[in-house]
Amino acid sequence: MFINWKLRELNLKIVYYGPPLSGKTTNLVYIHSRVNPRLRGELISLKTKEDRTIYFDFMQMEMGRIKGFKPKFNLYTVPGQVIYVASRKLVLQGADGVIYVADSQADKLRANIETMRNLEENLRELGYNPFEIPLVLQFNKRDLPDAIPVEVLRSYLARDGCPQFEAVAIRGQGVIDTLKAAINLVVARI
Amino acid sequence: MASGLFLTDAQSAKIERHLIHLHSRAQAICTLLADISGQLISAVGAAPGTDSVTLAALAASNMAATAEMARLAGEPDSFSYLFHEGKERNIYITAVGDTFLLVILFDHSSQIGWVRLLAKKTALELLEVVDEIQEAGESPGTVVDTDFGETLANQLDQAFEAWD
Repeated sequence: MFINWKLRELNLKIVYYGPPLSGKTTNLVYIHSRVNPRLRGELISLKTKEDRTIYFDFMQMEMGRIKGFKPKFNLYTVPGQVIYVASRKLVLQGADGVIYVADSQADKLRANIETMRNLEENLRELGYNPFEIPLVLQFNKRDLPDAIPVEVLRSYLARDGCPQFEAVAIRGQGVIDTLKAAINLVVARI
Repeated sequence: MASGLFLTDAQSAKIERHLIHLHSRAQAICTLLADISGQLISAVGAAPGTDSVTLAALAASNMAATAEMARLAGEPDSFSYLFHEGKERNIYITAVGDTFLLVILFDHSSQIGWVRLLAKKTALELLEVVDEIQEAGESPGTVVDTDFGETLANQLDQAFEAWD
């Protein structure tokens, strides 16, 4: 969180985290395409030739002034691949909230669990209590035939009271609801 | 890291003063201060196509990658600055303490040696200011209450509804 009292701006950072190819970038691309262009900046994607996120994707979204304050949201995704652990830690730095994008496919369960563990470790290393940072869970790819029941994913990934959404990010389903829940949660925590 | 950064009017004015001074002496196109998480703190000047918010995020990631390279290279500290030279534009990035970065975008009307000298001096001056702000400042608790949250939720709905 960064507050500039002179400009009366409230800056908050929300990070999309999750295993490789779970749909983090897809979430951000959809948000960018749907939000009023007057309220958003450029979408920056640092990708490899294979279209995989190497550093991060980034966009800023701002709202109108509320009680004289302008809320601005910096949305980041982290690279899912294991080799980019350093990038993931960098992007998590200063995060006010996390959206965990889980891949619902049966063969991705292990990756989901490991990445959640990795998120907790990275948060701890950055000085956070991983169980206190606002977290929203998104169960993505619900349209795929081998999607496992949400209850199974929930039993491994959810924590008490954390908002959860089913999504098909490629079609935009559940994407905006997930983001709104994260923003509301982060702001409520201030 | 998890606590946040609260910049008072006075601190903000001091930072701006230092940035403006550097900006005009270096004849820069854009001069900005960011933190290592990529958050833009303050920016002076802009050119068409220069998005200072994004520049701050990218400069922070660049600096982080450089720190990692320093570690791999066996450098005990970190590399203190980065310089990218282009045909028309150059970017100079230098660390301000452990948590902030000073970024200067300039063209060939300025000499790199001159920019570097000014950046070094300004980084030291800024360090005194940012040392004060790191854990201090007024929290937003007084502004961000239930009403704030509700209004924000409505605005969010509108931000997306308009495009349905």
